[in-house]
Amino acid sequence: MRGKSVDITLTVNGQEQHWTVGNRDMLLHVLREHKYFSVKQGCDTGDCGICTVLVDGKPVRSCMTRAVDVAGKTVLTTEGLAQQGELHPIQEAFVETGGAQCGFCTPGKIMTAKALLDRNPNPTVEEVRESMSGVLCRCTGYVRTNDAVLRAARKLRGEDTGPLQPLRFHLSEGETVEDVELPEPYYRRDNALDPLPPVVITPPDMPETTVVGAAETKVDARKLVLGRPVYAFDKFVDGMLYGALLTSPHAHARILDIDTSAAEALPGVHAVLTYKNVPRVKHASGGQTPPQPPPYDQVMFDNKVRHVGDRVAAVAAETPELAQKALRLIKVKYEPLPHVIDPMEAMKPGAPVIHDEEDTVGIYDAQRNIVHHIEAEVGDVDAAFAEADFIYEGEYYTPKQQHVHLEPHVTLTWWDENDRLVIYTSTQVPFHLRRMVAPLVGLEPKQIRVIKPRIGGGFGNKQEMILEDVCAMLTVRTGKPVRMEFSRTQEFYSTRSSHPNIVRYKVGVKGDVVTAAELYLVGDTGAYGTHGLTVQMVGGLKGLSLYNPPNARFVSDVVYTNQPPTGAFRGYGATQAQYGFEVIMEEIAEQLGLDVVDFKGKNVLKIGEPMYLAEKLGEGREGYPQDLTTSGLAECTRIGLEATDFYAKRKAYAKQTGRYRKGIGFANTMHGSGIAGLDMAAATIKMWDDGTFFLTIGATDIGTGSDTILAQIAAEVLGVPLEDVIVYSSDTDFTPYDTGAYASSTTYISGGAVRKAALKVKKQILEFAALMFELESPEGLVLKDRKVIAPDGRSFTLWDIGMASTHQMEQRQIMATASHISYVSPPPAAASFAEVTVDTWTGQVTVDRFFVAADIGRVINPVTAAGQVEGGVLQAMGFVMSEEMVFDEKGRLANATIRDYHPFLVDDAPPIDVVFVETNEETGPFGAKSVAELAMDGAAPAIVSAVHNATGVWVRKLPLYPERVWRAIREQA
Amino acid sequence: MPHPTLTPTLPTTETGWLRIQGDASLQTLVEAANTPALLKQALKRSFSWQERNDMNVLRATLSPDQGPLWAAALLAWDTQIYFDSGDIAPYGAFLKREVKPAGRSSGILIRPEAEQTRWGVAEVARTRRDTPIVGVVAVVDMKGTLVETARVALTGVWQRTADLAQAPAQLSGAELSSDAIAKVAAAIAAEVDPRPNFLGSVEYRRAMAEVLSADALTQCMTE
Ligand code: FES
Ligand code: FES
Repeated sequence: MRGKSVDITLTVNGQEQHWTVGNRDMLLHVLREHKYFSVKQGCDTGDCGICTVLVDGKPVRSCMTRAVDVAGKTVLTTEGLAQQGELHPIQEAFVETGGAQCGFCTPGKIMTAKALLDRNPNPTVEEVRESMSGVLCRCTGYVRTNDAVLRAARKLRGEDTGPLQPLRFHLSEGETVEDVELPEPYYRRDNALDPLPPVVITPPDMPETTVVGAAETKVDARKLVLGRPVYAFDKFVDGMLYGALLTSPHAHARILDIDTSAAEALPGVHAVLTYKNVPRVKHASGGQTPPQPPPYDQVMFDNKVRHVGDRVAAVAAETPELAQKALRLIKVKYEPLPHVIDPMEAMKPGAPVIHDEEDTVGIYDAQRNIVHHIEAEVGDVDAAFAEADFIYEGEYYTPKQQHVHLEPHVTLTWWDENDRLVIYTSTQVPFHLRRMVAPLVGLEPKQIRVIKPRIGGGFGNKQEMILEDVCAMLTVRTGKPVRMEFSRTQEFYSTRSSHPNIVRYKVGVKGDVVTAAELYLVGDTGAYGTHGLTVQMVGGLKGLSLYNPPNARFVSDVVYTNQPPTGAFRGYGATQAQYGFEVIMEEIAEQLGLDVVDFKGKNVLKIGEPMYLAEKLGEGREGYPQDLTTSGLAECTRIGLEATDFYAKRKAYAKQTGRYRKGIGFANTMHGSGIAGLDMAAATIKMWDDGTFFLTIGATDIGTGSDTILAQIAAEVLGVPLEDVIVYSSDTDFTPYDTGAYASSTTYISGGAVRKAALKVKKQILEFAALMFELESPEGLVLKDRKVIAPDGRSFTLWDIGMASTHQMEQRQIMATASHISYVSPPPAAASFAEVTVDTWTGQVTVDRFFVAADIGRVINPVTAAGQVEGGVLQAMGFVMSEEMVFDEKGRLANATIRDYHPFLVDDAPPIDVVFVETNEETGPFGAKSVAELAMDGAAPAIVSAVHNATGVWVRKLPLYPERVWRAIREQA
Repeated sequence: MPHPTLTPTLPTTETGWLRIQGDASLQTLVEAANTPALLKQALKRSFSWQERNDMNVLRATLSPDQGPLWAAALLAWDTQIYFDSGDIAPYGAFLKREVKPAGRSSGILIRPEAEQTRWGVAEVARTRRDTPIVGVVAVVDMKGTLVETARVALTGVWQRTADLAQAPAQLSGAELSSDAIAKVAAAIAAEVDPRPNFLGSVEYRRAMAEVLSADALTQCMTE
């Protein structure tokens, strides 16, 4: 309780409540204390809006509203919307449109929509965008959330609206994408902002499916729109302590001494951890397949800090306030050291040495802060350059982007009744965590169970051990449950980000063929090297494979600086490297007077071609040979050219002279589907006696909808509707192994495991049915529509089979587990088109429209897949336009708030249209590849290309701050 | 229960100025029929719907960082702060502590819209919804075809969040022509004293002060 205690009476969701609150308590915390868990916290500083509730019908930020100020008023939260279990039409609309991905922002969005529609039953899309702009969403790209609000309005007006369905074109034999005529709205000639359904174009030879390919609503959507307490953020355990972390105010300092006596003496403080009392176990915090890529340059607490926000000490206390008080009582004697923020400076002789400790092994050149130096080459690069008609060089820069998942890192740990340590945590990698935490806290992995509930977004930042080891150690030390949660400021300072990169390309061209390329990538890994090696290797492979010259050289320096460490971020190096290659390709086309689309099309990786560098560049080790087996990229390009009227606009825009100029840009991108030869997933399916199925997977749905599409794969094989497959993920005790949600592996790798497990179960069902039919073999039996049908027309329902196999005859559990690994990683590909307006007098760039045509193989679920693309595009748009972690000379962040950092809000977002051109990737489940990361890659090059079309300038450094564009235009003038 | 859109009217003083209590929500101003259109636009641009409901007028006004363009609009609109002592102080002078009124600030006084008053807003930002890097609000009172007074407030070009430029005074008595605007915009650029940050250097902010002042004043020509 903060401040003086006050008794208040208010009405919450129609019920009168009498509460005692502190006069400085905020409504958010009071509501959550009273178990209104739908009210979420994304910042606690008024910047995200996801804590929105209605007070007397008006939307307010509950974190900025004092509880005493709502005395006598009515408060409505999401819990108050559904009546007798029936969803409110707004909740229904969010389910039907895929408007709830991770769902953490969803209650805030739903409440804002409620306030809007109460006032305005027929809002325009502009009014929806304006009204909803106060609630940040990091997953959806806002296309589906806007759609949900407009759909809810129609529902409330009594108009009929079915679930969102994609627009489908099933090509007949002999037809191509050129025969597809998109409806007029997809051309956006009227500049309308309306959300449009995704389009799916299916080639004639694609095998028919029933559940796979359907726009099924997400299996977790109902609980998300109801605001149920499904996240680690909502978990509290009786008798638990609150953990808190003391972090460094210095960018680089030695800790000469640390005095924790006053904190320890504080009644209610149960433990204090520092470098003095925890074992020094060297490790790397990235959640990756063992052997963990080096360097092992971290310990739980060190006597040296290497960035502002680095760990210094942790406490566990009986209340959060007491924990904070204890932190303030810890006296740390620092010896500040010179620090270095710029990676190029860090590599110079005489720069401060960030890792001077003796027990970190595997640093390439510690004195120059180079943690890894990577070289890989194919062909004869120098000879190819010597023979080239034309050599072009360019340098590009990409910013340090923060994930800004709205659920922060939250972890709870406790001893269970079997003296095993339970880690209940918001993670993308439960299985890796179990293995990684154990040695740090002095336990065997078998003594640890990791549970991952629903996750409020991750985007790579939860592929990391951030709080789990500390929280676990506090439980080990105190014997009590401990909960730790990061503030938004700590998210910026003490978690991870993308790697800022300097990207230098040298490209040799003979005629119009790219014959050689060299990529030098400087990867700023920040204070620790987690993911430094692998991100750069992926950057090298993806950057040099898109146009795949036979003579290619990749060189990279991964460099320590005194910035917060980088880590995994959706795109994982490919976004940065492909940005450079895409732009330089267009620069070359321009110099040579070539049509950029043709030039790229001619050189892009084609079906049957090997990716030359694939064997040399795996992730942290050598890779496996890869040939491109399917590609719809040419078709994607064709569709995009048509839908955006690319050539006509390009021509018209190139001649502009006024202040405001329009531009259109285009980019190709390719990603991968899992890590070849490394990612392994398993799935278990059992049949219950009622003929329905339980699918357990280690795969971690972080809001992407992976639980849904994996269940669709199982349902398709087992001949049942989706509702007959109950999914559970993930718990290291109860679900089979999965590497986790990263590397775009879930659809392809985990989906492969689910399909195999389902096929095994199907085989068992058919064998059992053969017994029931008294047939000698199951041959000829068909499993479909919840039945097994014999060739003579007899049939048994799955209920019959479940009952018989469980209770009545030759009893057995129909159940199977299967594992899947792939030695190929087929690349999904996309053609992206951006349209912009540039104010040449101020340099401000406004993205007016974004169009993506993507080949992700078979589209397992068009709505969730479109949501991944739309959300990825918008996250990437932040990377291009506004998002950069900026440091001052002391290594402090200049923009460590959501407001100053500025991810895109609804009203910032252009319309994003998505077309899928399906291909049938034989190695993928039902022909699927992957989608989540591909979406990150196209925005930067397409927007930079559009700015060039508008202004004639190349802005090679991201983000496109207005001043950068303005300067480039002035320099050209 | 549906909440119909309300269009209340804000109370006025004897001289016709709108008198807005400090604890009124910002949304009250957006919904009131007699709030000047400039201020409505500045409110909608500066604050989300939630913020307009949960933030009161005094907080948003006395902490210009909360909504720099809103502060600039109030400055350009010649807003006054009133105090429980009965004192009244110009908003700009109060922010700069050039006046020492008695008592506690209680609310704001806003002059009503008038036919001879024209205004314009111009800004540059990373995105549409982002806080402006530089923002300009111009308000010009005309007397016939001549400028009576011109007030131009800028954000992002001073040490303070928002302030009025002096240079527009030279427009008084002149016609609001493109030439006059260009001259005054250049003078504003010379007058501002920007602080650099990652979003804009001194040079850029100064240049934007000129471009955007001209933009905002040009809008006043046609309003
Ligand atoms: S938690 Fe209230 S605005 Fe972010
Ligand atoms: S669904 Fe909006 S933040 Fe995840």
